[in-house]
Amino acid sequence: MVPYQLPAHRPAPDLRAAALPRRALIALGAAALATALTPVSAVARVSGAPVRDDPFTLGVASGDPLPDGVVLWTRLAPRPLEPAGGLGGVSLPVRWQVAEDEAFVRVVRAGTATARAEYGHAVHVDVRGLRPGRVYYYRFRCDGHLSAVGRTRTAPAENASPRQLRFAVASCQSYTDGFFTAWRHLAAEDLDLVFFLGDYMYEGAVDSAGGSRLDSGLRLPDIFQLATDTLDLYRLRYALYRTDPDLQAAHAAFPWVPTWDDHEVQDNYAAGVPRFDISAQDFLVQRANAYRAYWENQPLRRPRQPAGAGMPLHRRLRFGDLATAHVLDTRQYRSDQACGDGVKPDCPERYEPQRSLLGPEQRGWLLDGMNRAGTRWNVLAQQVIMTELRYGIRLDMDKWDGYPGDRQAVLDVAARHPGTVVLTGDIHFNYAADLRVDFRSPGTPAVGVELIGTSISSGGDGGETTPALQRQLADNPHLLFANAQRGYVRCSLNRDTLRADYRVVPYVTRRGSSVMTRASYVSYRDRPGLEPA
Amino acid sequence: MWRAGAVALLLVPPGPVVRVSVEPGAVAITTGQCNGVELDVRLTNAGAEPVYADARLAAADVLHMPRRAISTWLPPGYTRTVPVAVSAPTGTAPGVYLVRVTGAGQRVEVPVTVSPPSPSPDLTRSVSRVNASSYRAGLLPCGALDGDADPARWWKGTGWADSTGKEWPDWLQLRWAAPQTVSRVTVTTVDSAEFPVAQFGLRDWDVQVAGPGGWQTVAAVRGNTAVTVTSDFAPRVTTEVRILTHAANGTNDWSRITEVAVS
Repeated sequence: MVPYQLPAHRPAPDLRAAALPRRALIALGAAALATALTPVSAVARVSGAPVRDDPFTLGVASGDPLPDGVVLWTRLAPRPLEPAGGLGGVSLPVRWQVAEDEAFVRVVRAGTATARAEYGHAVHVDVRGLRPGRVYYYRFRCDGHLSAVGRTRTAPAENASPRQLRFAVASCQSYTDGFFTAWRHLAAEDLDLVFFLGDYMYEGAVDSAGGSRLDSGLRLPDIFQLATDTLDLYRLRYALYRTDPDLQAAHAAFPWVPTWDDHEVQDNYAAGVPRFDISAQDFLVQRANAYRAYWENQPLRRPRQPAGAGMPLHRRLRFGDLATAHVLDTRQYRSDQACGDGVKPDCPERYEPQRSLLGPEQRGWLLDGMNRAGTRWNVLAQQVIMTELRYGIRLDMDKWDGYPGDRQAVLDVAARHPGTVVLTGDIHFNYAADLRVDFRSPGTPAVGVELIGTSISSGGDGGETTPALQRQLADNPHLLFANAQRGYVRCSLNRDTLRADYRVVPYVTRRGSSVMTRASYVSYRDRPGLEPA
Repeated sequence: MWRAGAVALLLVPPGPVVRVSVEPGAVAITTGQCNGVELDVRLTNAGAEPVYADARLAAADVLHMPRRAISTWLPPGYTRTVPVAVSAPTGTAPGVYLVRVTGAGQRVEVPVTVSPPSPSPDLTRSVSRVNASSYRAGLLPCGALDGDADPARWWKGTGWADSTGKEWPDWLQLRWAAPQTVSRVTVTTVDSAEFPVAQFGLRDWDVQVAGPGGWQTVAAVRGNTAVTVTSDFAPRVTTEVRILTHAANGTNDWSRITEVAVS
């Protein structure tokens, strides 16, 4: 892959051509002709020119903690809502520091990275040589500008026996549906890490006031009227999201373990199949652009970096002998939705043996990893609801319900290894559910539990419940809790117990809502099944 | 490549691997927010390897061209076509202005001839500004003023829809640079096999004109199931007309308007 860039700020001559005779213009014909310019270097040069405005408008982040390291992230953008963040085609050196203390007296690692124009001026630093299970602070510096300070934490040592892992489950942050107040509250929690389970950004139009935010001071440029499909538009959309101060606070507070769902590319896509009426090749290019922007904007390690249309996102993280997190990608490799997608009555296509939500490679990797983990708990951080969820006689074909073969394979392994916890996003509701090998046999023991976390903002203010949720609780005996508010799930995983607190905010279309614990559940590793705490 | 100094030096291959072109090669538009054109900017990978390609877009200051960059992955042999909207605000001096696309070592210039709209009894042609309470990607306010009133084509970007399902009212607002005498407003909602009017059409709305004391309702439509409704009223002199929508015929509860005509 060779990125082509022109040098920045080529002087622009006057673009008015009033002297041109009209007849000559008409004679130009159907297509304008390209004039060749002097060849330029394929890689943007690193600039020593000063950066006048604060380039750290998009905050800082860390992610994917290991016992000896963590990924640090930032992206330079002095003017975040302009192409290339207002930096043009030059790359810039960025200093970074990791310290044991917030005042940076005891700096333990430091270096210089390059914010490359061809990567949207994103910076990924894979810091190693840190000590396990420790809190660290990090920051960046670029040309006299200091970034905000981020706080992160390494994973426990491989052979450690941690007493507890504290994490939050969050997903679905539509900017236009409301404010990210839930992130502000999450940043004040006491956590080791955050699992973000997808729909980090939404691809549709954002009007000048940010949709339901009705933020008249925002005055977004008209470019945000376009749905994202090219890399420049995805980059701008991430920049908009990352300017949100509440989201920045949540990134700066804890390391994140991110995965995506559909909206990072397009609503309800399946592998190479678009939801809407565009060609398969056009969609593959759109997906490549979306994946590239995702990589640029998340604290992910180099092996995750996409090459064209594919991006290997599924991965494993280990937290001593306490937990193994299997981070899944249920979008990139899935078979097209069965029965025509949507919420449909059962159909034979659902059971076709070659159908897969994970794809054969990832499914084998997951089942093998669950079998071999050897930790107290297997945590599946993933996107769509795994538990069977009947809407009367209908099922949602976009979820694991549309792929019963893969689900059965996972649940069969869970039945042999105690301690399976499935974490889920996507649906904009809070649910708590017991996982059974046969959901139609409510008397049989559960083989694991599923914590389905609501959205940060998607769906707007929400409410306590809906008639559809009440119906689901009645139709699905393994479903223990359903709630339609916004928020996140705060979890603590101990040696023998899992506790989940469903934290909710009563509204998101105005700023400043409070947070409360709507429900709490516990489950025992050796006797899975959620019960009120 | 995350460490300082690790700058890869790649050789520039001979000749352009990525080709840049723009169609049409010259355009003429009239002034007004909704009277612009879309230029198709094409980036073609003529090489054998996939590339990430960039183009920069510039326009004379008087032109409104929100898009200033295109970056995309290009597999070998693939052409990405990106429609780029260009318009000239009401009041722009007549003349020929340039749009310039640069990328992959090439430069393409497209002359844009700008003139005021010809006087027409259809006042929508001379609207200087259109606004809406909200909108969706591909269903922008200008879609309702594009001269295409085919109710089956609404979904193809030729109409407007709000983005707040089940929340009412919504509005679509037209403004002129100078006062106009208006006495008729025609609203065309949707109708097609996919979006039949009885399920998806607009049901209740008010036609309003701006007066010294604020918005005045000059016509009200209730319980509508027709595709096109013309509201006649006593002539008013105003600079603004607004369609204030209150309800649709059910499904999703969006405001769907294919076209508005004012005379």
